[in-house]
Order: sequence, then C-alpha cells, then structure tokens
Amino acid sequence: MRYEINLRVRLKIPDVTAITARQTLQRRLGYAEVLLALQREDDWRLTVEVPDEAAAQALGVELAEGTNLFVNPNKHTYICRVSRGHSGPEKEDSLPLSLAKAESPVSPPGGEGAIFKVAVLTGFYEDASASLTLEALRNRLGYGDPVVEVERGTRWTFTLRADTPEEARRLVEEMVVTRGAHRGLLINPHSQWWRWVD
Amino acid sequence: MAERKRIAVLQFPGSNCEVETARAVEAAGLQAEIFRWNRDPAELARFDGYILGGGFSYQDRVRAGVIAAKEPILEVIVAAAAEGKPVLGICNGAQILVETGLVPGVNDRAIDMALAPNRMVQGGRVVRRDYYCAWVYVKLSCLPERCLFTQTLPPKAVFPLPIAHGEGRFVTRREGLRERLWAQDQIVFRYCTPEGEVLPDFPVNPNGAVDNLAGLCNPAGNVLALMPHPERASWLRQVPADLPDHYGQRRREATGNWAALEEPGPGRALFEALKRFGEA
Repeated sequence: MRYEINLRVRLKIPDVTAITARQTLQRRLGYAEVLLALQREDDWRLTVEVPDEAAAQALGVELAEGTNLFVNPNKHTYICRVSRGHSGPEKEDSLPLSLAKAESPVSPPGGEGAIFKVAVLTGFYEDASASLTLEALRNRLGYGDPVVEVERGTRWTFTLRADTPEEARRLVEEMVVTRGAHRGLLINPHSQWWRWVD
Repeated sequence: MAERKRIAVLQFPGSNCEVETARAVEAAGLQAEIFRWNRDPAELARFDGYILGGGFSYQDRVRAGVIAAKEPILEVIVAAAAEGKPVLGICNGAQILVETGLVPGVNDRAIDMALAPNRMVQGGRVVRRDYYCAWVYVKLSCLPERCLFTQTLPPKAVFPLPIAHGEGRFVTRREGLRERLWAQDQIVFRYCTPEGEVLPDFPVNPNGAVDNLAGLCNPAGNVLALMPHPERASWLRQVPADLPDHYGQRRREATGNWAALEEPGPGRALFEALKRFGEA
C-alpha cells in the first residue's frame, strides 16, 4: 500500500528567517495591523510503499530520527503524520507544534475581525534537495524501493486578523506572491511555486 | 581640478564585498563611500552613482536579495535611477535589483524575473547544482553605448570575470519577456567561451541562465544587474595565471613585476565607464 509520510520540521530556537519575514511584512509592506504571527517549517512529503499504516508511521519516525537528513535533534522538533486512512499518532519530541487548520477563526483578543490561521506550502521549481534526498535514502542509506518519492517545501502558517475566511486568504496570497517591489514577499513566481495546505 | 564623482557603495547586513568594491571604484578615479543601510536615506540622494555589492544581505533569508529589496533606502535608489543616475548591482546587488523590479524594469517595477538556484546542465543532464565559484567568460551582447557601464568596452568584447553564487540563474515566466529584452537590447553580457562562442552547456553557462544571461540593464541603460564580480578583476594581479587568453598570458608575464601586476584587470572597464559618465 502507498502512504504519504508528512514530516514537518521546525526550529526549537528562534527562527530568524520567520521573524525577518514577519517584520518585513509588518514594517515594510503594511501588514502591521493584520499579521499577528508567522511560523515556518520544513515540510517533507515522502511517498512510501509499505504493508500498512503502522509500518508507514514507524518508517517516518525512523527516517526522521535515524538518518540525520531531516531533523537535527539539537535544534529541531518535528511531527510525523501519515495521510492515508486516519492519521496515526503524532510523534513530537519536545515542543508541541500548533496544528492549526486553515481558516479556523477564534475570538480576537481585541480590535475588529476574527483571527484566522492560514497555511501555505512554497518551494523552488526544480528543487534539487528532494531528488538528492530520494537518491540518498534509496541507495546510500539502504531504504531501497519502499521510498518512492520525496517532495520538499516550506510551510508558512499565518496568524492574521480578517473579517472573513475569504479575506484572510486574499491577504495571505498578497503576502506570499511577490508581484512588485511593494507587493508580496515569500515567493518569486518566476522561480517558485506555492499552494494552500490544511 | 574637477571634483571626483561620489559613488555610494551600499552595505546591508550580510554584505561582504563593499571594501574591495570601494577600492575598485577609487582605482578608476572616483570617490567611494561605503553607505550603511540604516543611515538617513536623504543623505544617499546626494551621491552621483550607486553600487549594490555582493554578499548575502540579510543572510539570504526568505530568498536572496528580497529582504534588502524592501528597505526604504531602495526607494532612493529607484528615484535616482529614474533621474538617470548610474546604479550597478553586482551578484547579491543584482539579486536585489531584480527583486525591486528595477531590472529588467519593463513593466512599471513589476517583478518580471528571478535569479533562481544554479542548475548546471550538460547534454540535457543536470550535472551539478547550487553554489559555484569560478572564473568565466562574458561577451558584450549589446552595443557599448547602450548601457552606461559598457561605454569603454569595444563592441562584442569578450573578457574573463569571476563568479561566486548559488542563486544566479536568470529565469522568467513572463510571456514574451525574453523577446522584448532582445528587441530592446537590454541583454548586456552573456556567458561564453574564451573565444566568444555562446554555448548553453556547463561550464560555459555556469549556472543554467536562460540565454546565458550574465548581465541585464534597464530600458534606459543606466541600471545594470550583473552576476559576475568586476571588482574582483580590477587589477591584473587578481587574474589567475592559468587563464587561456591574453589576460592569463599578461598575468604570467607579470609575475614578480609589481608595477605590471598593478595594471588594470578586465573588470576595471566597468568602473572607468562610471567615471566617464557625465564627463562628455
């Protein structure tokens, strides 16, 4: 059976890239009033061929903890989810991650509008790291045929204030796609892709 | 004696070529001042020209050049470029100019291009990726007078320059842009062999750039985004002795002769053109 293992890897230490991105969006691009937080994670998706979901979950944990390719335990925390069927138990090693779902409004602490969490996945076209990782897993590290495919992206989770889910998504798209000097930041559409994620 | 023109060499957190760039500017007879990004932008407007040098501004966070491109100081550069003042972006500086939309600058500062991670191709196969540091050859592909920084070069000049970057591959998904750049003669430098032949494969094309692009100017010709480093080729002593051209030969012949080693290298011409600007 084919399963997708999703490894989401996050820094335990302050993530200066996420902080710089948030501050640039707030201070330089005018989103100070709406953008409340921005979180960044490495997002690995591994397609594997294993007998059952438990085996997929075990393989995901082994890959995360035993290969040194995805997680450095000195500075990273991670979660491992298997997507086919119901998700297996989540593996967390220290800091709990906020598993925010897109468009989940909560009561705002002040001001107007609701607070939403919206996540996107970004990456470079022709990203070498995914194919190199696949090659390393299948050959040098001996995992062989069960590892079918590797995809790598960066997951950005926005916490923002908006009146509706539609407005939240519109604002996030504005912030993600760089269309001009003062419009967008996180991807250059000439070299990078992006998509919504739950 | 006429006062030397003042050139600001911008320094962002993570820039690492500002000192040698300033030296190269001074060697061409101009006055250079390293200008930190957090100074009053109004002071920057008083300079006669601007260079955004190499390095890793803001640690390449998010994407090379993009954070610096959002700094308020860049608005001074944009205004100066609109006035016709010279602006040269070298390596990380080129990435910043592309992320501001100043280059290619054909659609009202829309972001029309990217400098993507290197992807070296030979015979249709990807043979290498990412960071690459080497001396390469570039060919002047526009008329010398088309770009402010190439006015002292002979037509179709071919010369060596060093590169050192991981994200230097000019790419675009804007339909018709390449044709427009060719039609408007904005393609200034292309990677080539020592004989001037433009071949798409690595190592002649060292990063997989579309059309072997190494340098692009804006429509007015006063803003140049250049991936190779002319400041690292401003003296003959900086040229490797094993280059297979007359620069290599001159360098070998100059070994042990300090005066000869201090003669201009192939990159000096770009800074001399900056000096010539406005003298005519």
